[in-house]
Amino acid sequence: MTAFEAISLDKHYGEFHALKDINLSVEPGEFIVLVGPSGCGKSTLMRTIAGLEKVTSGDLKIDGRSVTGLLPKERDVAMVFQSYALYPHMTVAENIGFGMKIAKRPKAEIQEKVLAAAKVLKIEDYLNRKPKALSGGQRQRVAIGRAIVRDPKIFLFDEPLSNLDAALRVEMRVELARLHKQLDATMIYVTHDQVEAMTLADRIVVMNGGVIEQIGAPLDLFNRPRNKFVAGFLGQPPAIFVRLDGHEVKGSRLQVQFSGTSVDLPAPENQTGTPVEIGLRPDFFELDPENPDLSPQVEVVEQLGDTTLLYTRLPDGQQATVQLPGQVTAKSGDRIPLRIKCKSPLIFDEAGRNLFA
Amino acid sequence: MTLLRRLPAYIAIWAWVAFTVAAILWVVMSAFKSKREVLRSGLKPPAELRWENFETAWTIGRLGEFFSNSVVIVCLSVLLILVVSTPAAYVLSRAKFRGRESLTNLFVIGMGIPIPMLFIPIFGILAWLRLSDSLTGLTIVFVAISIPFTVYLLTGFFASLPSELEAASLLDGCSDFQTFRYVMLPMAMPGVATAAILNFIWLWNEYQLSLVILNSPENRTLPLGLYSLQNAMQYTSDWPGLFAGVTIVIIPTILVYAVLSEKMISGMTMGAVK
Amino acid sequence: MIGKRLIGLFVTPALAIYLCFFLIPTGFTFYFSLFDWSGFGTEAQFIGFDNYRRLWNDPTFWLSFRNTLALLFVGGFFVFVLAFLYTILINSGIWGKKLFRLVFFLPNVVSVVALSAMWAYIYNPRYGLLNTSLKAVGLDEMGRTLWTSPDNIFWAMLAALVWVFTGFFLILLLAGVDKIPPDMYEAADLEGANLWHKFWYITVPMIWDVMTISFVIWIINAVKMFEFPFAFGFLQVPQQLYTLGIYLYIMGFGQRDPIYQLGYATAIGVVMLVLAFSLIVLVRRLMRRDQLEF
Repeated sequence: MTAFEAISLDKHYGEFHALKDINLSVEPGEFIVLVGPSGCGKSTLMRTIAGLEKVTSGDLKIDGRSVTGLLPKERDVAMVFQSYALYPHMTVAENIGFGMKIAKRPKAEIQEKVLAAAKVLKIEDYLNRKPKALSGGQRQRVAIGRAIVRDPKIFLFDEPLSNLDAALRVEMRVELARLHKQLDATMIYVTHDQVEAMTLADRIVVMNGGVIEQIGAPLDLFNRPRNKFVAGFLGQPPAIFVRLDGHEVKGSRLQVQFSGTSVDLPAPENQTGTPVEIGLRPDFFELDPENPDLSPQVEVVEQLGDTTLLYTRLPDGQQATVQLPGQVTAKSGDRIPLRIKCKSPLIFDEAGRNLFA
Repeated sequence: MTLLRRLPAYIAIWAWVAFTVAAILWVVMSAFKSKREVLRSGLKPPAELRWENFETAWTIGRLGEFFSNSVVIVCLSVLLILVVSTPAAYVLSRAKFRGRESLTNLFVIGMGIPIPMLFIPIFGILAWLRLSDSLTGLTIVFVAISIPFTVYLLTGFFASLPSELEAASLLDGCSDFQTFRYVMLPMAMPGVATAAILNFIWLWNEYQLSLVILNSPENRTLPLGLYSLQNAMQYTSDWPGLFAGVTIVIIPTILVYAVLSEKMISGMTMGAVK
Repeated sequence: MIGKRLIGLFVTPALAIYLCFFLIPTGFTFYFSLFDWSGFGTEAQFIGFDNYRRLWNDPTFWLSFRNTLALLFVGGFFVFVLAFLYTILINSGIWGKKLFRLVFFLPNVVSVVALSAMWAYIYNPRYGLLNTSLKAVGLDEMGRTLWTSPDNIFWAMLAALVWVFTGFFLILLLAGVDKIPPDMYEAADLEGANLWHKFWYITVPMIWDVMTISFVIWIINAVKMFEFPFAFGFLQVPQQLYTLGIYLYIMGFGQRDPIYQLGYATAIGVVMLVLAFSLIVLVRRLMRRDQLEF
């Protein structure tokens, strides 16, 4: 049985079509990350799951039971908000136990559960403080604690780490992964940060303009993006796209020409469209003074210590980002000899579909 | 150098401040002087503290009775204003329903109505309800005229609260009333307190509608009592007695203001400065 | 997520009280103004616009109208010039800003009856603070002025009023100025702007909305002005102090002797409302401009 299912979900805000025919099913214990640029509908989708937004049409099922018409409290889901949404006038313990208090559970039970959740999150020392007196990371834990005590069928996370500073974000990310293992719970997580998506997810759902572009395991999405949008969205710095000047199929090989060079690839298994564009990730380039495919001109050099980023311009004027391992000595105006090695080929047809998906 | 350049600013400001403080201080000091002293001693402090002036104002001027009238009517009014305005403001700022904006505007328009327009109709309505010349009638009118500003102030306050908290409380299983009662209302308390203070001060000083509605001497509120004291003064020339009365009237509001001025000023300006 | 029942339950009490005891009665004013009505309990007689025709030929009404306009424009001029001036001065980086703000606003929390008693004594010709101070600094001639004589009383009252309201609008303008990001002034400093430049090119545009609201509040307050001049006039308010609000009250209830020209009085109320709303519309139109984002 699926833990969660969305069937042909549509959501309109007046004229605006926020969600278009969303279909998604989530296995029990799965960690699903909804990712996409702002305004893509990921938060709306999450809010419809929680019951905070009504759907225009379609069905939502939790544990096989339709919850489309139910109130948030009847759905048995818990949510961790971007701003944590802690009640400022309640102590940490009251915040965590508020749902149970509303449900009129006995005091002893509330206390016991709050303490247990606090122990899991290592916040038992702060139970009598107000949220104001906590650091960002601690508030985050309280917000998670509030979700844990509910023992919900689904945990919903709405960009929970975006208000934390960079170091804490990494720490909490690992913590969340650990928590997921420990609770073995179904979690749906919204973020615009692709690193969070790649590291946390069992499966990633990439959304854009109210539709799901692709669903899949992180590396599958990275290596075999279905279209240009997914290819460009995952990967940092992002891939660039270069118009092809021509292509040639030779038996089981596909040769594409662009920017005065050509690259030889294995032919895609089920070629349907005509190749018109190639996607180049920054690490597709290698330094090769002897036998370069192309020699773009460097405009800006960024030394990151372990890698070097070169912002270059191709002969046809197109910009290309090149990531080279180690510390490469180059300066603005240099021409650097590069060879292209497509680790996972990205070739797109006129409609932007990846032939290698 | 900078001090010298700022000297004119300091002088101009201090002149104003000194005048204001001196004028009020001088009224309070005069309340302790004798009749002769008031006329002769100018800004000098009283030679001895004559508390009997206060006694005169309190008993012969009947400010004692009026004081309790004012306390009862103002406290009751403020309480009622908050009880009806807070829920209304919550709904107007947080609920989604057709006509919400027009309804809000309907409330807000009351702030622009010149109060004297109300003199004659309200007198008629209270007479019809057999509530003329009664503290009950005045209380209802106080509540009615205070609703527009209070609703306006609190609507702004509720609107500034994060909506994620509402969502969180829904997921925690709250009904709409529980969300209001346990989450939004406690968070809006600073705003409610501000509204309470502002209304307290305005109604404590309110005078025009009291003048129209109240007639019998025993029903007077403090400002009315002070007004009649002031008129009587024309015959008795009892300046110290009048100033004792003035002191009695202004002390409560000045005390409240001294303690809570920051809150008051922020409430006053919140509507104007978004 | 707020249900229909709760919406009704929460809005109704406030709406009912507000409508029954404020908005609808105000609306009745229009209706009453078409009647000759000489007292509660007596029969009112429909006379159409006769009350307004009478107002047109009533010199006391025109006196009240003129006083209200003088209050609005002359008083307003001084209130805003002073409020602006002190806003700049208090905001020029001096010490004690909060204290000054506190004192400037102080008169606004004091009962107007108390204030008028205070000012009556300040203006007292023989023992008052004003004349004794004038004499003390050698201005003997000026120190004998009868500040509350019929010629002077309106302006004496207006000066006291300006003292009260300057503090009120100072608070609003200061709050607006406080919202301006300080780096705007720093940027202007770097470009060599002087105090006047900064006021005219940064402060004024940035607090434009606050100014508009302040003007609107002043219009409302000035048109409905009743309490202060009424208390200032003591037992028998002299005609020099009549505002529209006072004349309405006098025509409705009389001062020592009842007058009870209720229909006539309500017509004055209608004039007040029309005056206030047309001025507000005018100010809003004159001051309209695009919303600034920052």
